[in-house]
Amino acid sequence: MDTVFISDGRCPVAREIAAGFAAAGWRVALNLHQGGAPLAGCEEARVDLCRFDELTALFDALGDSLRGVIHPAPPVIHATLEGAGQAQWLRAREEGAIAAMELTRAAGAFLSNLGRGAIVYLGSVHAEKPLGNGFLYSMACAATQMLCREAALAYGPQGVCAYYVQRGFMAHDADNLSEYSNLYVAPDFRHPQERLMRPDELNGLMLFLMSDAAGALSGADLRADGGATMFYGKPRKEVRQL
Amino acid sequence: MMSAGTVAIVTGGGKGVGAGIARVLCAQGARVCMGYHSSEELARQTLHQIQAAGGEAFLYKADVSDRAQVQAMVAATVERYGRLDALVNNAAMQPNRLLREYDADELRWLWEINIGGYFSALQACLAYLKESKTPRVVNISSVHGKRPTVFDPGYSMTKGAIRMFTREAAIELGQYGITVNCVDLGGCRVEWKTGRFPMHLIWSRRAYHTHGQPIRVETVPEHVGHLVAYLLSPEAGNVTGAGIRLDGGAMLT
Repeated sequence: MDTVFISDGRCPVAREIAAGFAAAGWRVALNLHQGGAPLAGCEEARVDLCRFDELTALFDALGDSLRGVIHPAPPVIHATLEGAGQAQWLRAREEGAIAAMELTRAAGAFLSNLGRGAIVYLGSVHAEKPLGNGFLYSMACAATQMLCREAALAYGPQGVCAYYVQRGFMAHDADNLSEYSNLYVAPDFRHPQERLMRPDELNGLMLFLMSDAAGALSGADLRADGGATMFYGKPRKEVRQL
Repeated sequence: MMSAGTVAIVTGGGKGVGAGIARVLCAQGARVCMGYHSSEELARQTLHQIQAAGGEAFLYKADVSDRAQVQAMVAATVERYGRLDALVNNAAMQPNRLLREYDADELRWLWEINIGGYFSALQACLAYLKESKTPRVVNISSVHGKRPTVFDPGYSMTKGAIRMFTREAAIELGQYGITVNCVDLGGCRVEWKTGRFPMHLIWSRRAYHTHGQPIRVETVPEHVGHLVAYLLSPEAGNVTGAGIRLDGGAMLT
């Protein structure tokens, strides 16, 4: 049985992905150290992602069946540049950058010894599109996007691939609406299919990226937003009403 | 051209790229606070060059990872010149460590200098920039905000973050007329390099800066200075959120 480690059980999208892997017959280790309830069909893990030694011990315990890790971006910290405080800054640094690097180093080293595997960063379109009220989040996403490219280069010779998935807008992202950006104004109508994406729509992509067939995409950004960020201008609904 | 008497802070302005920026801005009539941390001798040399050419500048020693020191640098600039028009975020480190050589503490240190310094400086300058007729922020970044290095993933992570820092600042601060842009710099000949030189990953040291580069002229700090001077000018008032690559075309090949 193949194993996948999903690093943050708070993320609603990651939880759907975990359920999808479990339904497909995978062994799923879901990290609940930062929070999140246990999930049926998944084993609980509790590791501090900023601790290389804890991560290494976990991977040793999961053993040779580990095929890869999926690392969701942390929750958005809503703050403006003008108003952000030191506590928010430090939390974003630890959850957004340090955690990503330590997980990458630990997973990269472990999977390199196996000669195969995948590190999938479940990021966001906000690695490139600003939010307006979440600069700490978008900065961390962009940093992780670069880490993905570096990991692909560093571990590629050992057969380990890395991918950055830019997920788009979903129902639980409504708090991202800000006065500085139009992105979250009627986001369903930015989607070519005129609806929000559902978390489970990423399951097929994640299973593919964990397979041996995805290697040609190593280092790539995969924009999985249903086409919404291609949209430029007013949402179609408003245009139709003109 | 920059407005007469433009007042600017250039962090890391004592040597390297920052010194080139300070020299060009002063040559065009700006008054510059040159922040520096180590290398006081190089900083004084740069100041003397500027003063000998008739320019106006002063040195301020500040560790950009220390918010209080950054705030004091900004206050000293405003006290001296009565206003502030531009912030050029430049001070950064590049340790050149491989991914397996990094650890959490080293990334924290690098994060606080390369991004924390930019953020602290922006917050400290904001109240004064809002009062300026041509308020400007330029973040000196790197081609490695988009293209990975192999030889320093921590550095490229921080430069990727600066890409989004710039875009977020542009959309938030546009309401005050503040433009925010970044310069994505490629190889540049400087008199000092932080970190160890990644010899094992480079074609040849002699051709380091121009190998495979369409424009066979080495980028020098003054090239950066001229681009920054344009971005600080009223003519660049509608350029914001942009990342402008300055690398002689190297990233294309």
